[in-house]
Amino acid sequence: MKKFIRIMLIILLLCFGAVCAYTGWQFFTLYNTDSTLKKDIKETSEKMDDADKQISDLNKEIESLSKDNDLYTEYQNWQRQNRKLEEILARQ
Amino acid sequence: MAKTEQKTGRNSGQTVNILLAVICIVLCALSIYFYRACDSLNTAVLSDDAELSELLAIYDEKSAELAEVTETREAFNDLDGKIAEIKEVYFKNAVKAEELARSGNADFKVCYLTFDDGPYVATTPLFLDVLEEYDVQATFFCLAKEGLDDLYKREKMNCHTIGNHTASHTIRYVYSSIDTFIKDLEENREFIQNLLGITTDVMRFPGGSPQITYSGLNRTKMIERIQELHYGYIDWTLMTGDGGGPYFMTPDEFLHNVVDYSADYDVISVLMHDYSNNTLACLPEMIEILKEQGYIFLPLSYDAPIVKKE
Repeated sequence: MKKFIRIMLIILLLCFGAVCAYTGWQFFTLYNTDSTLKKDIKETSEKMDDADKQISDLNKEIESLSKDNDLYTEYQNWQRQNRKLEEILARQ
Repeated sequence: MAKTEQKTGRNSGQTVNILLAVICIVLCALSIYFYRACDSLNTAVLSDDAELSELLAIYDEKSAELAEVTETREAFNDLDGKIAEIKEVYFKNAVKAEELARSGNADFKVCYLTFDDGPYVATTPLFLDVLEEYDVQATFFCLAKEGLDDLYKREKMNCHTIGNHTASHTIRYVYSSIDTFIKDLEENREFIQNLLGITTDVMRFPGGSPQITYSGLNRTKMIERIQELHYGYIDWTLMTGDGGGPYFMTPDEFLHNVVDYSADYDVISVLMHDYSNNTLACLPEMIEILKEQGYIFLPLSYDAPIVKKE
């Protein structure tokens, strides 16, 4: 009887061991994935903040450079005229 | 003695079974823990994944915006170079447009509005206002006039072509000899070069190219000389008639001198003067009618087919 119980316990132990190993492996895989995702989110957020700052700085610089800048106005005018002409040609 | 040994064996067997049972319970508990933890981690991973995708999409937009802003900022480092680059592309397209219009394979015609003898302090700004309002480009065949720097600069800034019409436009003087003509023409080129940093390469003879012969000069030699200096020249297809004096005709007559004939052409150049108030009065309507007739308005360049090189 005792031997039978032991055999049953060993079988149970093996089954639980397998289930535990599988769920444990899944746990660590998901844990690693989540950690990587969290790290990526943090890095992307930092990059976005950095890009925002750069855009804001550049816009300020552009604003001050374009103030009363005839040459820049001329550049913008040529860009606009070129776009207009290219649109006309693209229709043909 | 044997009984004692048997009892000890039974006890150790029970201990092993208890130990096995405890390990089983621990493993079971761990499995349940991992299973539940996996469940909540899975939800977290899905939510983080969605958040990251959203962030990456926003980051892509930001990157594109940053690239655009950086390009705009860099343009300031060499605005002259950038303008030269874009003008090169533009005038190549303008040549294509004129060729297409001439071939009859386009749904548009090409009009070159030209204004001679300026700039004029009182009227040129008003002409520029009209052109700006209609977003139309033209060509100003300028003379060398001191103290009007802002007007030359505004013409350039608004993407109009600055053409060369000699420095003085004094018919008797400039046509006294070919050398005199070239001297006056080059004087104007230098004046504009110093003021605007551009080299004029489209010119119009004062009074038009027939004036060369009327003045008794050799037309072929004159054209050869201007070619050597890399000038193309243009006369005109139609004119308002304002060159004969601003008071001879009404604005309506000026208008009809152009729009009554323009429908017959695919490519036209219109001669006007930016001193004429009557031309100024009819210019908006002229632009509107020409637009209705299918015209687009381009500034002249050396490469434009309408500009003669021989």
